[in-house]
Amino acid sequence: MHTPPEEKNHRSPAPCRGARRLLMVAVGTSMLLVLATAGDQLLRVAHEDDNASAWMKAMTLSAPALWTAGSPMRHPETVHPGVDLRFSAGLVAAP
Amino acid sequence: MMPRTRYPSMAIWAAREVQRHAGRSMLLFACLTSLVFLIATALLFSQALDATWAHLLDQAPDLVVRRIDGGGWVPIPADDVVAYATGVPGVLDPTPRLWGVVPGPEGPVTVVASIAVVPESVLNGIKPPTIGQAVVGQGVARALSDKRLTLGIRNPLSVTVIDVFPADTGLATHDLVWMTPEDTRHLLGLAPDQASDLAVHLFRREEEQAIQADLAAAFPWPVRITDRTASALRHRTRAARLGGIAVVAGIPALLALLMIITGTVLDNNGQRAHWGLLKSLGWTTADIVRLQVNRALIVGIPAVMLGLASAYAAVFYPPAAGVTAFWITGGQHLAALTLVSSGAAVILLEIAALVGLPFLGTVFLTSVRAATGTPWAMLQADPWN
Repeated sequence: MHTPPEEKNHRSPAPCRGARRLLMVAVGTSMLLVLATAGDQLLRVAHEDDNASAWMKAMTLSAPALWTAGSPMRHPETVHPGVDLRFSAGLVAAP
Repeated sequence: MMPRTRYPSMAIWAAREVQRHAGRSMLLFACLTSLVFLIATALLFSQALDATWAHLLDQAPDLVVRRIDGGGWVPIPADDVVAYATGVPGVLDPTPRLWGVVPGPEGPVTVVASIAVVPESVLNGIKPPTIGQAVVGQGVARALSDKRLTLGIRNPLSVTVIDVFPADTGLATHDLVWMTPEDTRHLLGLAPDQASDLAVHLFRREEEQAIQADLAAAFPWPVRITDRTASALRHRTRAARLGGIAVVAGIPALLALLMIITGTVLDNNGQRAHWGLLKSLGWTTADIVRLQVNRALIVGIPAVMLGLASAYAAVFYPPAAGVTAFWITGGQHLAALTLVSSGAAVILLEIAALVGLPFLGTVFLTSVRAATGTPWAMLQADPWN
């Protein structure tokens, strides 16, 4: 059976087939990782933290809840140079 | 049958070269991946914290007015303070707040009551509490064994938990206990017409500093006014400090990058005799350089992408983000870590360039240097000679 010259020129010798597979894995993995990260980023940016922001506004909270309740980072309005935080003393454990 | 993807023959040769040095290539892959992961995780985390705080603090009131006397904070008369604040030009929507910190089952919790009606769009199916009921955040709910929650010591109050704030609101509600104003006043020891403090929004946010003197003068007793900018600055400072720690953590990683580059230089110099053989078979210097660049790309691009994707997952997916925060903040448990990812793409690109460009530059330059010369002179570089 006659093989077209173009195809004949591109046929890989047997030792190169593993290399071709390695190349496919490298290209495919890279593209998959880029697409997954970019897709996740786009989805997140579209609607991230809207619910948390809405509750911040509804409850007129002054700071996010990343830090322990009672700490100045959580309740910045409790910081005063003349008033210590005695009512928060010892309350160091997060719920 | 689908047509097979046709790769340039030089890329297939480069893949063969990777296979010929499989152990060394895997080691290089692992080094590049872990290097990118370490640098990207630290920088992404500090940037994400900064972005998250900025995003949430944008919703916070511009000013908070608290009444003080010689003993500390004093409750305010809710109706009167609204009348006082409304008289100050530039003040919008003065809102008395009912809130306080009280001991909960496993530590302090933030008790809040909303005097205004919470919009249905915000509630999203959550039923507002009635007397004797409460809606709690994820952090509080985790400590409960049944539906009863007992709060406070001086005026203890036991309420029934009717709902839990959704996990995606955790950045605002993690430690919250939402109760009725009556229950909150009972728990905090406030009279029926009293509130904890006053939240104020301004017509122009730029007036935050300027308006404070007028606002303080409008009340018949001493007050302490806290502005949003000071709070944002405190958070920004914290994020910048974490970013500084990230840079310090990156120094060993950069040294590792230097060692990888040195290893690449030595590797390329050691292959001079092999390249001389290729040149004697008809390869040109450009062919050899292209081969080495292709080989570096086959290992480097997946390694950098895997490192970046792992760092992205470690920072922006809540269970892993908690572990990352514990690592970077030196043992602090940051609750409900769902961080904002805006600006992350720029950081990822910067880190890819920071690691990828020096690596590729080294491969290119050392290949050009080692592949230049006559085939005979290069063949003499064989250690057997």
